[in-house]
Amino acid sequence: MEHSIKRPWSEKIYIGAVYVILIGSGILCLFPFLNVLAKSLSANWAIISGKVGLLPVAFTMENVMFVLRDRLFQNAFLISVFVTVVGSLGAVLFTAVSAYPLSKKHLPGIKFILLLYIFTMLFNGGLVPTYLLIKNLHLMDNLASLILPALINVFNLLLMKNYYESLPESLEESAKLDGASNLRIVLSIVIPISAPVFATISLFYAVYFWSNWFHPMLYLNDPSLKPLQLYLRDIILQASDENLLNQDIDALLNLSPEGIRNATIIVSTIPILLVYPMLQKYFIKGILIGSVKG
Amino acid sequence: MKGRIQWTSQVRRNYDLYLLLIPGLVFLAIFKYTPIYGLVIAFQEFNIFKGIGGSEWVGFKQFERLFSSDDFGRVMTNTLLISLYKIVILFPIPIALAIFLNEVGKMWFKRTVQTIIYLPHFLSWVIIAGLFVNIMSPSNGIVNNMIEFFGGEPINFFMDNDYFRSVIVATAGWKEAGWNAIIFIAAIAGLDPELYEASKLDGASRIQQIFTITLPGIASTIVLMFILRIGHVLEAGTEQILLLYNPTVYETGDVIGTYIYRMGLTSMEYSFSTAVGLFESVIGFFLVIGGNWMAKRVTGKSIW
Amino acid sequence: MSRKKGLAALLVLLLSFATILAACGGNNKDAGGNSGASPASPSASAKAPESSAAAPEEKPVLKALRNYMQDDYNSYPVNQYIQEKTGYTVRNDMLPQEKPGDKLNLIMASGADYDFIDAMNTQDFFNFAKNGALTDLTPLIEQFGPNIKQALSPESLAGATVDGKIYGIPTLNVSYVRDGLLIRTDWLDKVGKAMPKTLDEFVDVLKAFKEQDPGGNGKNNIPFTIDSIGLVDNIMGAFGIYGQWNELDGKPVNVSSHPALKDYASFVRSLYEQGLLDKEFATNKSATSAEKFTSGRAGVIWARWSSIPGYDEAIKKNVPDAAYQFIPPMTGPDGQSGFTQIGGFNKITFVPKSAKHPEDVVKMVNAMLDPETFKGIFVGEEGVTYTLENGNYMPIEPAFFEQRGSANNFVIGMDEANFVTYWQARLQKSKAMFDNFQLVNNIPKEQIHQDVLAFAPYLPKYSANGAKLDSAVNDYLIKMIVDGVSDDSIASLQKAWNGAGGEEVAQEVSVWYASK
Repeated sequence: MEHSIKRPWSEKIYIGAVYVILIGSGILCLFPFLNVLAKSLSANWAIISGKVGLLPVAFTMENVMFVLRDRLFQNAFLISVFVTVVGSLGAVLFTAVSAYPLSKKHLPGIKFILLLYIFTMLFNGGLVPTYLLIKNLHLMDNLASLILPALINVFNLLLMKNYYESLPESLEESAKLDGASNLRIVLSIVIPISAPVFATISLFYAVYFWSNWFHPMLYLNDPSLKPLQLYLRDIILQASDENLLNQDIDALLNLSPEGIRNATIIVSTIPILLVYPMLQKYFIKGILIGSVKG
Repeated sequence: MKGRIQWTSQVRRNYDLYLLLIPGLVFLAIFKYTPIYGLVIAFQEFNIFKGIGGSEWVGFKQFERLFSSDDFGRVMTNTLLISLYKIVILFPIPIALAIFLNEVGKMWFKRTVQTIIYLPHFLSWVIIAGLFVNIMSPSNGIVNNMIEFFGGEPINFFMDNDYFRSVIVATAGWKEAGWNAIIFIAAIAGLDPELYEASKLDGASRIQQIFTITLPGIASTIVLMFILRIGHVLEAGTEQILLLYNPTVYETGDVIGTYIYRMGLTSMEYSFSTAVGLFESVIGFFLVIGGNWMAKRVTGKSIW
Repeated sequence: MSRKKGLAALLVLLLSFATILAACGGNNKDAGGNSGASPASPSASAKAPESSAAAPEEKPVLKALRNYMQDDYNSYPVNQYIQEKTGYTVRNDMLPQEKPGDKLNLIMASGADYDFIDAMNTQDFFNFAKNGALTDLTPLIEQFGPNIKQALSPESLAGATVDGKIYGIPTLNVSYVRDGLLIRTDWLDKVGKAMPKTLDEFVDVLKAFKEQDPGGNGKNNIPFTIDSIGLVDNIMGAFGIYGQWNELDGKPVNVSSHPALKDYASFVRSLYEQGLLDKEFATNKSATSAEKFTSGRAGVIWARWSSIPGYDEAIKKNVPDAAYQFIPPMTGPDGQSGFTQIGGFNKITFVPKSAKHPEDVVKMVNAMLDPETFKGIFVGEEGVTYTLENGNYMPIEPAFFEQRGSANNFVIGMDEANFVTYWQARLQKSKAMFDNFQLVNNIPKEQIHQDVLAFAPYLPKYSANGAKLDSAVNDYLIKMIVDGVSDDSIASLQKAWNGAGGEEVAQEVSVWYASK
């Protein structure tokens, strides 16, 4: 009797603690974002003098409207959406297909190929040869230069492979006994129950393609191809201390105001933030494994 | 003879699986292994206008340049310390977050928290650094106001060598914990709910379930993440530290990445930066191989 | 059967994805290239190719690589203006904001198809010239460049000459004093002090700011704030230090071995020790110090006049009767005073060896340097973008800043006799800025010290190590100001500086200086 009363109590404390920790972390993580959001809705003078905390001061929509109306912003936005959508679809497809055979470690040669992949996580040829490769493939000033070299991210490949390995072998065994080919097993059994890992790597690829500014900076010279994150980075770094020291005064006189900088951050971050909530329904525990088994 | 027959019959029976490898191998060959010849410039005095063929070979000179600099000892120590703190302290946090989120029954709450804790990942250090300097300022930052409220002395976190590494670890954890939790959330989502049902019937408490079901269930993901993490032990967070440090805390905060940046060795010093990268890669490669071997022995799980 | 089909289908799918993508991207680019401008500016691009095709003497579209600016080069009004006046359509690509030199190096080394390129860092330009990557413009300027020779002084052209050949067209910067100390004059009135003329008076004022707290800030009162810098303008001038390189007895001397360095550092250290200098200055970003000043918490701030328009609005909102101005040069213990003037070349425009139309580039630059055209490019049209008042060019807002605010990015070479007058129109954006600009720039000649290396030719050691050496000095000074100044700490600064390649650089600089 006593025993059964005690257990729920300790459990209640545990669950209570879990909620406190999660709410606490939530508040800590929300603060900076709210600050940037508040700044994007505040007047420039209030930002400069540090008056803006979590709520806008001297509220204005002007900054956000200015950014949304800017043709360069609109263009960069469309480029980013295109690269992210096409890139993520292609990369998920390539990764999912390439990872499946790698999960069959007992097959001859597979471990070697796996090591070939892992080697590239740590070693790469560096900036100059990679640049020359892209140039020789005639991908300069071409959006494919952002997508093709990123079709397989080895980390995501390993995640995928890891997930395939964790699937109960009985699933595939029984299908094999029914005479199904490997490919058929992948398409009709493995992929349908892999929603959580597909959701995860889709998210990772989408965030990668959206956030990538480094390769656009290297491979694109035509300003009309500039994606959003490069556009954003240029604007943010304009006001960095290092730049303030090095730039000539004419550039400094043309600096965009703080409010506009913050508004640019907000409007170029929100689209990618929406991807996770959209994918969250696939993170629900065992939803699909259960259904296949049942 | 028998082994050989098995080998070929294995390949023949699964030829379609081998064909699936082709796109990936083509990708590797073109985009990863074609440029790898560039590593040799670590042993040159590379002049971009002359190319690899025309540049002078200098052996290990670039490596010597790195190892023989006065500050190398200090910089290496800082790198390893900060990196180790980050691994020891920060690696478990996302796992804990994922487990806690798994305990939450209310779907809206779970989703909201998940979405909120991954927000900081999307703000770059340039923006966040400024915010931290403000909230931790000894004169009017909120953190020090609280310390003073509880009767403490204000701490100048960003100028105090006793605190600086802790600040680096804490801010990095704050920024990436929620994002890193996603992998574990997904791994837990892949577990079979029947396992939980069964153990509930056996009378296991929720805390017991963590150790008997959840952790073993995501162990292979944990092992994977851990091995890959230690491969990057020499990258202690260059961008973060560059934006948060200042000369008064070089003693504890200066790492390899920040040091070579400050010495102007990242711009156009192609040979030197390749050498540093190669050094980091070789160390990382051995750690990954060693980590995989250890993991296989201890947990029975491994990447390959 | 079905097994093979399925597999084949999957592989074909993957393969076609990759090829289609590459092909699509390619088409994209061609489309952009042919129309001669970005999709973002369809109207701007359409007219050019057809109209010039009809003309008897066909002028090629020139492809340019420009420095970063936030606006779109191809649709900016100046680009159209240049096309109207010179007949050349320029299609501009742009270098990134971050480390443009790195990218430029890659582009030049892998074969550029640009007709002309702007190099922000003159040392990059010299490097390319030395590596034989540039077209010799000497004969072309001789033949097609009368305006170029008219507008640019021989000294300027010499700055872009390597081994007797002119490889580029230098664009001169306005020389000015940029940084100073802004002081709250209403605080001065409140504590009953006059504008400080000497360092002693300055300390006196700061003490009064600290003790009397004229802003009513309580524990948040900051008499004096600076960014995370070691060399503070105006104060260093009072010790005879005018930046990283100084002329002493006719020789260039780096600040690290300047005899007054210890006295200077000790002085700033004493401000820090007495709580007169912001105790958090080492962690200050420029936004942090700006915040302290504009919210009314700081009495003195190290600032550049270009920041004034933003500060002005903010401080007037927070403290309506705030008043401030730059402190004129203060005199130090030995009677020295003054400011550092920066200047030199803004950029050098060059023609890569692989360029297809070097002659046309020179012709276009020549047309742009026709005095009237240059004026039109730089300040626009009277009555539309500016008005003339007593010989001062006054901007018409917002037309001037919308149409000519970024004109400096388009000019190639300056009309050196007139551009400073034109340029000042930009300062009229804010009266507070203009007045303060005058305050630090209209001072006696002997108080203005030109940066020793402003017009330096190619100095390979300096070009490789200069930035690192500057930051080493800065870092050590900051550490000294916080931790204390001693002979040892000065010696360790010098050791670090020499160790980082300073000795070689010093030698290189003095050899050049002696040969001047």
